[in-house]
Amino acid sequence: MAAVAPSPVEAKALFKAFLREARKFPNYNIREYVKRRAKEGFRECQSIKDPAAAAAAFAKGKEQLERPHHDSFFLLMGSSSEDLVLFQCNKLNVQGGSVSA
Amino acid sequence: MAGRTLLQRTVGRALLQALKARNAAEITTTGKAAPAVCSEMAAMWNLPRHHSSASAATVAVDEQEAPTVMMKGVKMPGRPLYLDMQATSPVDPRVLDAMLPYFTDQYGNPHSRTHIYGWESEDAVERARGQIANLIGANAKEIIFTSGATEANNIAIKGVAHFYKDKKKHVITTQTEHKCVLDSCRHLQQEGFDVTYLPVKTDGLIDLEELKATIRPDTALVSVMYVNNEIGVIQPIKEIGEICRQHKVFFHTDAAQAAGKIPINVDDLKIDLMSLSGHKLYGPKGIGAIYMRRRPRVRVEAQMSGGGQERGIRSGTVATPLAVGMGAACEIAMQEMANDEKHILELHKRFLEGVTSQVQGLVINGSTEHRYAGNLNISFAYVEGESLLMGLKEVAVSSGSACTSASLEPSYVLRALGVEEDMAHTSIRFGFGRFTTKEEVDRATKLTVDQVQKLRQMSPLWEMVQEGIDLKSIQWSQH
Repeated sequence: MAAVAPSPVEAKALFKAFLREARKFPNYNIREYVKRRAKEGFRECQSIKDPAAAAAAFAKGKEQLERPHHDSFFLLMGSSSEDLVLFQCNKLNVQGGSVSA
Repeated sequence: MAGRTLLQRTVGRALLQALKARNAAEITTTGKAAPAVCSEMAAMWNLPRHHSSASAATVAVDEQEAPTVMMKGVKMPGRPLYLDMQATSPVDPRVLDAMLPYFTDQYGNPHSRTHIYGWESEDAVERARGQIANLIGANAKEIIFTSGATEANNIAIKGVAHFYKDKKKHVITTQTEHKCVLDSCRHLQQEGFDVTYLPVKTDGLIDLEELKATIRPDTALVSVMYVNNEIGVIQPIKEIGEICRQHKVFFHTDAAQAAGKIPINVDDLKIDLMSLSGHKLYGPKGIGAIYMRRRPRVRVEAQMSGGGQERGIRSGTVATPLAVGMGAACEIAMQEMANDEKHILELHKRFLEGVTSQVQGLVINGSTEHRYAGNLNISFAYVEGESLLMGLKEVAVSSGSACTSASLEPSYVLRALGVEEDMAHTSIRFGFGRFTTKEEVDRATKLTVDQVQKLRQMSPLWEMVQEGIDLKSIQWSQH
């Protein structure tokens, strides 16, 4: 399947999303870096003519945006422990009605 | 983030708001008055912030006092701008992101072979090893994790010298190396090794002919640093590598200040051992690595006895989160190198033009041509260095390396360059990096210019120079 280049509207929306993300960083230097890097990155990509290359650049941008950098401390606040075997076993035991002594 | 509950999201968002409110107070360089409580908090903003930030934000809304940060008796209107990137660099948020899971859920010992905790940590460490190897064009098997570049330098110098001590008794290094290299060499001298400390030219570079002449049949190792930490000059590593290979001498380079900043390929440059540091390339502190060539093989004697981790060369559990952080930092550095280089060069030019256009009598220490743009070491004539540093307390800079900045002695690196004592005393190292902004550079330029002019107005020496008196011709009488 041939890759479809993003429309100017889509590209602009992605760029704005980057700037919005940048504003979330509490640290001045990092906030300014994200803004600067987004501007530079989009400026570089403006000249891309090849639709496949443009689509790849767009996908890369989206991937970068979705990485939850600023969410780092959410991880510290409590990550999911539901996949622990302990809980799985407990569930099984309760469901089966037999708790081994 | 499937596991994140609605509650966590809401609390998180509230925290973000609170942080934002606090952060508005934190940036005081714009001249806005900021709440005192907030700037007190700002002084400690590296600590986990979500404990008290919400209350700080609510308390601080109405207070309009002048902001101050007080530490070690120094009062500042806010946190200084950071221009000391050679001492250490801030952690990139992408690096922190990569590290966090290994601080929380994935805490396994990478050397545990019997369970998934160990396996996933091992995978992460090996991936990081690959990322580091990629940055310098090496094989992952040639990378050994250490606690930092100091340990890597120790392993390289003492390790090689000890391993080949039966046949080889000579080590060559330069006078402008980092303290840990010089100190390791001193240690070898005490053990009976012969060490040559090559002098440098006035531009900070070594003379290749002199190096050739110094190599002896019993020379085990040549150690020359890639980018100097104090003056930022780039040594002719490719030529040195060539000479060492021709003479069948191992070549070690301390690339702590170079890796991730300038392109390095260990095969092209014929490097046999190389020291790397995590925190100089936007990674975490406490981790470094040593590259050791496998073909032709370089062998070293281990410095630490223990469980035989890292192929017996560096026993002790590898710090998984830190290794992962360093790996991520290397990968990012590789992707961002061209962009960073462009940005840093721009800042370098901006600062230099700003300062030179307003202040005369300044000298850039070290070669201006063979130089890493992120390091600018300048001496200001007729200004007292300590006064200048004290006056520049709103800019975080240092007079040289962090290790020796506590002493009032002029830097040994500058003395090796032949810089006169008065000029060596007034040197300041400005460091620019990925996260330095133009606004910071402009502010630093203004503060530096103002301070230099203020100090010169007070200086009788400067007055004499203005009157056309040659200071060197003065016979100072002693009391």
